[in-house]
Amino acid sequence: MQNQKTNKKRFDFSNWLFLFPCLFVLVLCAGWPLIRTVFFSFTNATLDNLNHADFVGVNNFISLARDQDWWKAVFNTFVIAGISVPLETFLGMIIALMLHTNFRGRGLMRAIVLVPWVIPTIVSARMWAWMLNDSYGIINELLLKASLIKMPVPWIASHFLSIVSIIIVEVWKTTPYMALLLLAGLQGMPQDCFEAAEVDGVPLRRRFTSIILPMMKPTIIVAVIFRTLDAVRIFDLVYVLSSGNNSNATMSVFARRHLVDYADVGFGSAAATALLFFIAFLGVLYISFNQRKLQKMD
Amino acid sequence: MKKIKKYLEFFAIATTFAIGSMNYMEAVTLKITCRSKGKELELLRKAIEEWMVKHDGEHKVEIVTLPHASNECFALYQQWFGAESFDVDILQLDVAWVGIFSDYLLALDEYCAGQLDMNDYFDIIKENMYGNDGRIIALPLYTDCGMIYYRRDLLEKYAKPVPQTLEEMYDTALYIQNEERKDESKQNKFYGFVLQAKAFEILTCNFAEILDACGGAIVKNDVVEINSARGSYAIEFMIKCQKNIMSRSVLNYSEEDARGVFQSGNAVFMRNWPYAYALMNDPSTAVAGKIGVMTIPPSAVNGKESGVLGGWFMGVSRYSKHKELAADLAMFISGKAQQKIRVEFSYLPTFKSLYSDPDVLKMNPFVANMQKPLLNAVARPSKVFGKNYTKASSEIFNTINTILTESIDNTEDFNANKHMNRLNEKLSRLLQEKQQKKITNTAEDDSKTGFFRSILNSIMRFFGKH
Repeated sequence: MQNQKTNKKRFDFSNWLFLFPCLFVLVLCAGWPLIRTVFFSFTNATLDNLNHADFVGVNNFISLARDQDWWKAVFNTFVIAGISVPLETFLGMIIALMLHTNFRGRGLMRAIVLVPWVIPTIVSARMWAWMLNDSYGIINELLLKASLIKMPVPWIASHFLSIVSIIIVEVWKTTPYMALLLLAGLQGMPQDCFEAAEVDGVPLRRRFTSIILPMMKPTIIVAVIFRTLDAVRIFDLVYVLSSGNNSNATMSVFARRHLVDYADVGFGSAAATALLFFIAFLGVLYISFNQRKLQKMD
Repeated sequence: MKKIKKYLEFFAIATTFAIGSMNYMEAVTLKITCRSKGKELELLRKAIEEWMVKHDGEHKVEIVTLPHASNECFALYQQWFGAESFDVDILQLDVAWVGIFSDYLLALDEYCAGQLDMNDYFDIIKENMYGNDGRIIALPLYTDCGMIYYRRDLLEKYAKPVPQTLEEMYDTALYIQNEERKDESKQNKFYGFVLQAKAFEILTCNFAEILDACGGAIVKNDVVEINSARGSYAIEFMIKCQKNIMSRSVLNYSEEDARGVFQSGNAVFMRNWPYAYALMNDPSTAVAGKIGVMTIPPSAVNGKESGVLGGWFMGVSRYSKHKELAADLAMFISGKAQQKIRVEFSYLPTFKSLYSDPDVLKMNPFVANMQKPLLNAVARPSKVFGKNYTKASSEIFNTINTILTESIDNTEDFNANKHMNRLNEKLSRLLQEKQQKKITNTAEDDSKTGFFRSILNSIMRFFGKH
C-alpha cells in the first residue's frame, strides 16, 4: 500500500511523453477501427452505403440473438477452443519438460519445435487441406497403406470430421507456442527445490505434481488465457478447412460472411462486436478469478 | 473494414500499370478492371492496344487487376460504388452481378445505338444485358455454360448409349460404377458421377441446372417455388446420386477438385464448365481423347435440357467522367472481332453467328458443341433478388449442402422437404424485402426528421467517411 501511494504522488509527465508514440499508433491501428465497428453495429450500413446509413438502435443485436446460425457459430467456436486449448496445454507441457532437460542439440531442437507456429496460418491450412484431401491426400494414402482404414476418410468434407480436422491442425500449430511459454516458466524456477527433492529421493511423479505443477501455476494460467483468447477468434483454419457450410462456421467466419459476402456491414459489425464482448468477458472472468487464486497463493 | 479497404486500394494501385505513352493535352486516361486469370489480362492488353491505334494513340488506358477470388472482387466493387469518389470507368462483371449493380451502371443505349447486333446474341445472354429499368447496361465479353462430360470409352466398353435423360444417366453411371469396381484397384475410388457441392456459389449453379432440367425453377413470376413438386424431385435426384454414385467428398469439391477425379479416370460422368475440355484432352492425362460432352439431360418426367449460364460482362460506371469514350472501348472489346480472337483460348463467344463461323470452328472445333447448351441455358435468379442475391444464393447452397450431408449421415429425423420448405420461406422473405426496399427508397428522405436522429445521422456520416 505504501508503495502505491508514493507512486501516485510522483506522476511524471515524461512517462506519458515516451509512451505517446506507442499509444498513438495503437489508437490509430486498433482503436479507430474498433470504435468504428462498434458504431456500425448500431446502423443499417451496407458495404455500398457506408456514408448514408441510418441509426437502427439495437436491432442488429436483436436479430443476431435470434439467428440460429450465430449460436451455432458460437457453439462451434467454444467446442474448438474448449478441446484444443487443454490438448495444447497438455502436449505443450510434455514438450517443455523434454526441452528443459539437458541433451545434445537442445538449442537446435528448441528452434525446430517452433516451425509449425512460425509458418503463416493460411499457408499451413492450405497445406493440411491438400494432405487431408480424400482422393489425393497423403494422409488417407498412408492410412490405407497401413490398412488402418478401408475407405478414404473425407476429413474436410463432413461437418463433424472437418471440426475434428480443424482441432488437429490447430493443436499442431499452436502447441509450440504453448511449449515456448511453459519452457520460459520452467527456466525461471529456482533449481534448488529440484535438487533438494532429488537428494531426498522423491519419485519423479511426485516431483511433478507437488513441485513443478504448483510452481508453474501462474505461468500455465497466463498461457491458457492467452491461448483461449486467441482460439476464440479463430478464422483462417476454419475458412480453408471447412466446406463453407454455415453449420461449421465460427464466430469470426460468421462475421466476415455477413460483412463481406452479404455486404451487410451493420449486422456483420454487430457480430464482430459480440465476438469482442465474448473475448473481453472471458478475459475479465479469467483474470478476476485467477487473481484471487494468485493472491491466496502469495 | 478500414484496413481491408486500405489493403484493397493498395492492391489495386500497386497492380495498376499504364499502357501507351503518348501524352496530349486533351488526352483522356480510362481505367478498366480485369481479372488476371489465365490469358484474360494478356488478351485484354492486346485489344486495348488495337483500340488505341484506332484512336491514333490519343488516349491512355490503365488496367486495374482484380483479386483472384470472385467474391472478393464483388466486395471490392461494392466499396467502390459506395465511395462517391470513384474513378474506374469500365468494370468487368460476372453475369450474376449485372442485376445487382444495376443502379450503378451507365445505360448504354444512346452510346451504342445501332452498333450492336442485338439479334445475334443468345436470348439468355441478351436478357442479362438489361438493367432493372429495361435499358442496356452491360455488354457480354464471353460466356460459359454448365455441361456434362462423359467417358466415351467406358460407354462403349459396356455398350451403353449416351444417356438422353437424367434418370438414364443415373442408371448408366450406377451400372458402370459397379462393373468397374470389380477391379480391385478401383474399388475405393471409382465413382459414377462427380459434381461440385462445396457450400459456395458453385453449388447454387449445380442445383439451378438440375432443377431446371427437372422442369422446376427457383423463382417463377416473382414467386419463390423452390419447394414445388419439381423442386423436391430435383433434390431427391441429387440425394439419390449422393448416396449411390458420388463420393462423399464432393461435398467439399469445387471445379478443380472434380476435374482432378474425372481426369485421373475415376468417374464416368462429370458436371463442369467448358474450360475443362482443353485441359483434360492434354495428352498427359488418363482420359485424353476419350471424353464426350453433352448438355445436362432433361428429366424423363416433365424435363428440359439445361446448363447454368456463366461468363463475364463489361459495364461502364455511372460515375465515369468520360462516358462516351468508355462506352466505345467497352463496345470494342466486347465486339465480334475481339470475341473471335478469344475463341482460340476457349473463351466462348456470345454471338450465335460465330458458332457456325468457319474460322472459329477451325481455330477451336470444340466450340461447335457449345451452341446447344447455350440455347438451353438457365440463368441464376440474380436479377430478381438484386442486392439480396448473395444472401439468397448462400441460403440455397447452405441448404443443399446440409441436405446432402444429412442424407448420407443417416440423421434420424432427416427430411429433405422440411429443409426445402424452410429455404422457400427464407427466399420469399428476401424477395419481399427487396421489393419493399424499392418502395421505401423513394420516400426515405422525408422520413429523416427529428433532432436526435439527425445528430445521429451526422455522426454516422462522419464515421462512414473516415
